[in-house]
Amino acid sequence: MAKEKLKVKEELLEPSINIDAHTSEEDYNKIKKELYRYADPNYLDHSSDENKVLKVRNLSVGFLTHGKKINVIRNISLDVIKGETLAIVGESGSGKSVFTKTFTGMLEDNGFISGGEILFRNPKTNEFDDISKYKSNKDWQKIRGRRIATIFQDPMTSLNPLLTIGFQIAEVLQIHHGFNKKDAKEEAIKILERVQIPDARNRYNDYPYQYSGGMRQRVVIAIALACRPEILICDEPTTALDVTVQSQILQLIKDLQKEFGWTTIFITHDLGVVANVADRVAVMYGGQVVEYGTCDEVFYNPAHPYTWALLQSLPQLGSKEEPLHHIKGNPPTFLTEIVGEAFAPRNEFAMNIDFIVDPPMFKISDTHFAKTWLLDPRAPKVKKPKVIRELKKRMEIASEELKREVNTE
Amino acid sequence: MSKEQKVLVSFKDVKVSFKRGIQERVVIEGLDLDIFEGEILGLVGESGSGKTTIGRTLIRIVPVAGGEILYRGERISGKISRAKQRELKTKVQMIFQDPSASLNERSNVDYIISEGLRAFKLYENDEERIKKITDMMEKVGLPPEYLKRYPHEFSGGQRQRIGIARAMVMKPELVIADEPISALDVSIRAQVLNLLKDFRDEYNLTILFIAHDLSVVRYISDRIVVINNGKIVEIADANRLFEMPLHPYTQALLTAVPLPDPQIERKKKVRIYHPLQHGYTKDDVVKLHEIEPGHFVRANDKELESYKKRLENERKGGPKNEK
Repeated sequence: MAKEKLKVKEELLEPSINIDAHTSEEDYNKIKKELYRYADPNYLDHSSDENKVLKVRNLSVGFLTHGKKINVIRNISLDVIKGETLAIVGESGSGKSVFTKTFTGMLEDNGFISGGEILFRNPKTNEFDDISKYKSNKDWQKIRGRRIATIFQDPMTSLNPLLTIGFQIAEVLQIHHGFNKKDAKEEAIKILERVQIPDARNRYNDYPYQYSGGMRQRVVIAIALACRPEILICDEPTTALDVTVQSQILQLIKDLQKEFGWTTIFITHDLGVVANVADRVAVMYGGQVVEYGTCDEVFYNPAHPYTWALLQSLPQLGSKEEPLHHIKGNPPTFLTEIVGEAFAPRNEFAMNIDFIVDPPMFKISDTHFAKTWLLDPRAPKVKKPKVIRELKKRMEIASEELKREVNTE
Repeated sequence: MSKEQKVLVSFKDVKVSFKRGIQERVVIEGLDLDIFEGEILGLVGESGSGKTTIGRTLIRIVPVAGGEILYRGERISGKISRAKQRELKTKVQMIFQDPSASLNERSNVDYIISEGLRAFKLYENDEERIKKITDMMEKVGLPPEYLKRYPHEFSGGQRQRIGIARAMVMKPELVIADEPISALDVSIRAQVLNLLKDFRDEYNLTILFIAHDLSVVRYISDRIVVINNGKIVEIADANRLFEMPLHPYTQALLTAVPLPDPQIERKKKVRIYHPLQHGYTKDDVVKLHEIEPGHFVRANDKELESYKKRLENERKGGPKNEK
């Protein structure tokens, strides 16, 4: 044990620093400050607020389970820019769904926001309202569905099997936009046609079971569309669907976004889908955003080892001769407190400091940030994994094949 | 496909239909397919295309309405003797899609994995049985200490490993993996794929890998069969299929796979396949043609000509399209 401690000291970024079990909290904070020298805590606030619709600052979410409080979202800061698509990527258990549920007040009963702010722009006053302080259902109903709508993963569970498709869309129009019954029906049919349901008028009175999986998801999109939201949260909308249907649904969401100008927050674990839809990407791990940047930056110049690992494990990038890379171990369960970086136990690039002090966000460019000690100027330089370095080349080969097909048209 | 390969399973003009009252719906028609020993054969198609049904006819859950299935040259479809049926059950195993739904919640890992061994009395005494199970658990990467645990105590990836161990402990010759990774996270998918590949290399196992995602199938399979609406539309070597996809449905599937590269994805146009786009008339003879060694495609005479032209163009090294 003592030997291990010694090793830790040697490999700390700042050799003069001394942390062990006896370090007092005061000293620890001082050391932390020293270590955080190269990071900027207010990194998001330097860009102008003009285009932002939603600002999340230092958000933490806790859950009460097994008689104790566990922190599932730990200090997330994010900006959502008007009209763009922000993709949130992570494994199951990374907290990506919980994070977006806070925007509509849909946390489970034992969950609560334990700190931070969610600032949502009010288009009337152009000021930011802090919606994280909302408690009553009445407050939330002004936001939920009307201004922020959600599409869930499984279209069968998000539609009521006992009500007709048409009723479920018309209902939204009547509640949120004050349509009368007849107008609501006409409008609902128009919306159904817009999401490419063939023969919409006759299928208006059908029940969800009469629709296929892809069609059901179109209906869910139609309901969201009827709300005319400012932000649309898509929570893994295509995971339960076939690839061919998936590509159609993604295209539909993109087309509608262009037409109606909403902002999309897209939750997924599939980096291929991200490349297809996203303008910007936030990679989540262990309840934190570990990398945040534009789509091109995250794919062509990923900085966090977790992003590397995610990219490496894609079969699209694998070659037959070598086994696919997989991330060892399991994601953190949050039941024990996470010390240091959450990904460190599974990270092949982890340094000793990763196990002791949580890294801050380091800036790579004005729009690209990553939370890893590797970016600290004092850290040793590491070589990125081969697949990541060759990503561009490998994809070029793949796209050659693709081009060939498209050309044959 | 140059070296001589033994055929393990062969489907001969197989037809499967489901009856509902007097209505009969044909799901699979005229299926001719050989599965070679020791290969991983990928079976790709949309939901409803009948790919799962093909797997199920092999384990005799779904009866065959016409044609026959041969296993090592012996018929296994229709009425067969009890002894043969028993033998087949040990040799063909299945891995299912959803690991949490396919494991009995109320039995522990020991019971789940050894169920097959018990049913066929493949052990002398309990010690031998436990040894067989723990050996297999180690192979799939589960600590043998977990023997008495229940499925809910495991993560998704571990549960799928239990499913694999349960199939592999029988020392099967053929494993039918029906969408084994569709319900799993990206990082866990890689583990399961690697595991299946290792087993193939170690035991010369034959795997029928059913999936809807071509990128996954390409990584794992030696040959790929593309199936649409109960009919095979294209068969080719995994790499060859990606190089030279001929059938429009295969091309639609290929363009639908999202690639992890934003620049390519932005430029990409997704093709949508519609069965009527062929414009087949009644007189057309539409069937599978072997267009080059090991590469089959479903076409009528006119399409066959245009496909041949494309292949010829490719051989010349000229432009790869005919227009």
